[in-house]
Amino acid sequence: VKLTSSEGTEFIIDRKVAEKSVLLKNMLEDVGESDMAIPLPNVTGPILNKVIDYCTHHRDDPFVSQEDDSKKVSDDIDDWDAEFCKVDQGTLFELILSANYLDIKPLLDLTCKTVANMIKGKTPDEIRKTFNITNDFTPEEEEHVRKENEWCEER
Amino acid sequence: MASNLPSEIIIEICGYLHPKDLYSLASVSKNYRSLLWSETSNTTQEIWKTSRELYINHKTFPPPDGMCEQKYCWLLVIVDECKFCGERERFNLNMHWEFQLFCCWDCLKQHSISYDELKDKVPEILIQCLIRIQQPAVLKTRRYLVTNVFSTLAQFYEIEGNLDVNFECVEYEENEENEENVDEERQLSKKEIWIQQKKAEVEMILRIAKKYKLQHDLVRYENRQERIERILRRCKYYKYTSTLN
Repeated sequence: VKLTSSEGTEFIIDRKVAEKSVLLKNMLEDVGESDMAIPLPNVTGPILNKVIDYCTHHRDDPFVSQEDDSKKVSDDIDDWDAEFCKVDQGTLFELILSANYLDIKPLLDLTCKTVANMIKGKTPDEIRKTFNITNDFTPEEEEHVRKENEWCEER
Repeated sequence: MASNLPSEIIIEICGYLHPKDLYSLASVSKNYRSLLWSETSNTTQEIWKTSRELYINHKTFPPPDGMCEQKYCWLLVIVDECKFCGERERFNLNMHWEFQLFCCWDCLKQHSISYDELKDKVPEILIQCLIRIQQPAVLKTRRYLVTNVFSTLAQFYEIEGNLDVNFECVEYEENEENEENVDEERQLSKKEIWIQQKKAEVEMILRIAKKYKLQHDLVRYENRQERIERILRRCKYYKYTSTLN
């Protein structure tokens, strides 16, 4: 199967690897065998490379149904996956977006879990620092938030 | 993160967060505030509900009528300091679900009034309209939260058309029944209806509070040893300060 990233780089991968993506799986079923490259204008080369790495490593994993989120824990990440997620934040977010776009549920879960783990146990200020989010509350609004947080309105 | 991830992804990430983390995230920026603090948005309520069901070990009831998920989670596992003095030592703190109040024993005493102090100032019928402090069970006398006394009396005086709230005003209320004046009678029946409704309301509040308080303690003090220790310490505390009751 041939894929083209947003800059036009071509990737050739096994069909089995490609089918980890529900989007590609459906496309391949629709068009059948073809030599035409599938364009992926939303995914850049380096990210697609990472995604392919992931799909290749997990090519033999059984398909997990969407409904099976009975145990949604974020500390069940294995070593390979943890290592895979040791990337800068920009890349991590690109991976999330690509996993979402290509519809690769296990990769989406993995990357979301990684982000969740970065939030866990942190104060609002630490979260801002970690993700470089600007505190856009005015001091008055911040006071209001503080009151709301304690349910201070008189009843 | 807020700017480059679509909200469906943020919601997905929230699915892995404990209520405490959602609570922090809700104070990070306006974007997160609007996603995580709306009392009417189904999305917000769903996020908190998911988190509560997944991360609070004990199986929990749905929130009481009219309470949003985030407040429910806050009462169950997030609030950790005395509402009045900020005390954080968990053995000194207790949830008073009838008032949705988490505070320490000393502050509870300071902010409450005993039946004996109240009975000369407020007629018995109105005392019955007050929410009695349920805990601790070892408390010898009935006690009432001062804010509740004031708000209840204020409501009562509002029907009476007398907004000047002071305790003395109530005393003539019982003699009124003799008067034949139609207007007075209408007033009285209005008050009687109010009293009846209020009593029923209080009964309901106490019934619900009992159920949720029990659950609260099981959720917050997961470990049995801690629950026993709490009871022992409370008994000791009240034995020691019993003269103050």
